[in-house]
Amino acid sequence: MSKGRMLKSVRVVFSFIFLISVSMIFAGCNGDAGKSEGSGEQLFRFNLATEPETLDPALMTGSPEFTAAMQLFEGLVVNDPNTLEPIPAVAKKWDISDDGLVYTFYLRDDAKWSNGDPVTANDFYYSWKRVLEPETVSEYVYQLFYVRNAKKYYERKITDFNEVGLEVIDDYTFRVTLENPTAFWLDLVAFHTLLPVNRKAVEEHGVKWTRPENIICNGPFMLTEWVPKAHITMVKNPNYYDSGAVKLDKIIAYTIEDNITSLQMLEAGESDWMNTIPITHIDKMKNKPEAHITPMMTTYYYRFNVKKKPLDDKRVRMALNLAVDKQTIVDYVTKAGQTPATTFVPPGIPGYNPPPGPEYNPEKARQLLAEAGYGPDGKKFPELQIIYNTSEGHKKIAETIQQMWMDELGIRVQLHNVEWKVYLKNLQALDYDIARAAWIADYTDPNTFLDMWVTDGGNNQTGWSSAKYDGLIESAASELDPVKRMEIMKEAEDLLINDEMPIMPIYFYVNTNLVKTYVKGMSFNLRDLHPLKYVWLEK
Amino acid sequence: MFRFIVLRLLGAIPVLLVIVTLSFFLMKEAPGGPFDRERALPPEVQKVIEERYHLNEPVTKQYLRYMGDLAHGDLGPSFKYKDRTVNEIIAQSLPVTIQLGGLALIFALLIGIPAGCIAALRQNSALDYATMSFSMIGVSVPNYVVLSVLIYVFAVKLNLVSVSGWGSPKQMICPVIALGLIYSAYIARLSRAGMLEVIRQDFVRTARAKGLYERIVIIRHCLKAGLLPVVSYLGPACAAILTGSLVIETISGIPGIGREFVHSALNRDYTLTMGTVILYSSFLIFFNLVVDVLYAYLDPRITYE
Repeated sequence: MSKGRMLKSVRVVFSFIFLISVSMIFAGCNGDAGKSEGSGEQLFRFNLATEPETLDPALMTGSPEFTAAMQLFEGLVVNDPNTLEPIPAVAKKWDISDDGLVYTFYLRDDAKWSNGDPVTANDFYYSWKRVLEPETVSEYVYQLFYVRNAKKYYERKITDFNEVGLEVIDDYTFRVTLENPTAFWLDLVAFHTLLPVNRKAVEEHGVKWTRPENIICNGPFMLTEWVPKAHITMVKNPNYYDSGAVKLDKIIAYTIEDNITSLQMLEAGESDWMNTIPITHIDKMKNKPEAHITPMMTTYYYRFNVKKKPLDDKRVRMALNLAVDKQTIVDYVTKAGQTPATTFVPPGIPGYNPPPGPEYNPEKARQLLAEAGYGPDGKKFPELQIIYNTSEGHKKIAETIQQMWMDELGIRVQLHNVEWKVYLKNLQALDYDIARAAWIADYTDPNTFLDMWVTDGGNNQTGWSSAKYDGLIESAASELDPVKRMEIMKEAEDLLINDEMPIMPIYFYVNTNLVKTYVKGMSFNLRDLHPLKYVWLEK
Repeated sequence: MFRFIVLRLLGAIPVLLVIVTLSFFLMKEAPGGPFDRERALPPEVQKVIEERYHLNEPVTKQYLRYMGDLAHGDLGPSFKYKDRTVNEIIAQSLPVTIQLGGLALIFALLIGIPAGCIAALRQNSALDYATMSFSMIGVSVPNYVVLSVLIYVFAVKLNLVSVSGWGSPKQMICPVIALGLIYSAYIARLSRAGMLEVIRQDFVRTARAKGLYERIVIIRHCLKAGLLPVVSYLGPACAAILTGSLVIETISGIPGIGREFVHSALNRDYTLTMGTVILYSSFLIFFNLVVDVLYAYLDPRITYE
């Protein structure tokens, strides 16, 4: 090939590449998704804050996913948007047997899937069975382990699904038999893992059943568009039995991870609601009419590794807790109106009053530490380490606590931030001294906070164990009288926080929602659940 | 030339193999896994999940399984985004990133090359100092600062453009400028240096002596040779810019591939991490090849015959 010809062909090749890249660049340019048409359309836009891992209720694990799922699917019961109490949904009523084991749900006969098919007891039987099949790989399958023989079936100890406590009496009657009386079972029925899925859609499309073109929903809204990492669009479901009550025509849920951007979208009028005020903007935003700061059923706390010296001595753990002024932390570090925590279970659960926990008392802390043999006249306190997953907020809190322990007790601790997955591994392997943590309620009952501390519980991760505590949790589980049950729970928590202290509660979270003032019908509750069924706009 | 390209492409295969193998084992060495969460799974559930995703097998067996799928062009299912496969995620995110990167690159070249040339031709003039000071600022200011300022002024205050998203020109303009700015600054500095070296050379003096128009001397003779440093910089720059920017994509909510590079590794989404590693290394190899080919075109002294 001569030089000239070669150059020419190179030129041709490159102009071709250039043309292709330019056309690729401009291909797929389309208009903004979120602009309202200007008509009286009720379009509600909000930030879901992350790309949903999945829209399959059986597989999801996070709260953004649940927020999307509760608009698209409706279970036998739903949580009341204000009180969180389970209220009728697809089930219009239910009976509970006297021994608390058998729940009979009577389904409404006008509930329909978005394709017009009726929602029947078979749908729930199929959906729950699907969760229990190991092939489905549902991570939250254990929410169904309260059902008789469900766990055995999942572990393949029994193979006949008829032995599992689920029974279709007729199209509109569904009976569930539990392993033990479980006071919070109805609350779990509202949880996303137990939402119904459409058998036809799942069997026909496999993992692709959640795509807008395949999905069949039974909730107030249905999915029409899912642009990964951009937005999800839902429109009112005309086949929903209560569609007369649904006022929004269309919902766009953005998946913007950066919460400063999310705030700017709200300010620029591109979004109507976001549910986390950036910590840097709390002071500026918290008194605005858009801000709704309400209590949340989540506790921020530190775990002590009780297998390590000197944390194996409960006097030391008590002393460390007494020397932390939690009021200062919520006033000057977190600043959004969180409440200091002296107990592990947050206040506000109906029927449960947490026992009074230890208050800030550095004097007593020094005394306890001296009793344990440390302090000016005793041994030198070994240097401990606080680990936390990398985050500016966790760091500030850890620094404050580090300073408080230094000032009040003369104890030196190091701070160590680790990447999230490494942090989780350290906790599982008990490879830490003190670790930050948070716990969000799965259901509205103290049990969701207390049963995790039983011996070798998967979420215990402190090495702490008490036969008495295990016994209390067990007897609470089988207690039928709700008042007595709460008393036992209270006794257990008293043991946990006033006697043993394997953990140090720091504060209770608040929901920090920003909602445009023209948005009506939003409710705020302890679990930050937001069914949009009742929301409308007054522009 | 054709032979050269084919040989280089063939040579890329063992390089990619080594990269894939090393990354695979390094990734498996990292503590934690895709299903470790704050809420510990009951051991029986953990066991079922590990079996389902073959995480209970020895790493070498997992490696062979992965390579087998890879040979069929299957990058596997995503561990985190359970409704999607890695192939799908890349197919959806990459075009967006190429749009963003391509536009940013065009922006950078359109600003950078003229600025560099003007500065070189008016060396030590006020214009030269002004251009170079601006480019110094461009190099030093991080792109997220530029982007935040642009969004604050033009989207929040003036309401001229959109805060986030991707698709319409209103949404594209801020991230493209923010991403392109640093590249335009580098390109300006490199092209200035390249041009300065060239305009003193004999062949330029000859061209001028022949009485050619200054315009032709600059464009036909100087520019071609003066841009060599820019071209060699563009190879890795293209690979970097076309595989996205975590920061820009996160701030502007752009559904590109850039954040998967970082997040998939943090999430231990093994298959997605491998997919992005393969993608980035292929880009790097490809653009270096393009640079070498361009060299032959721009500099008559280089041939690959």
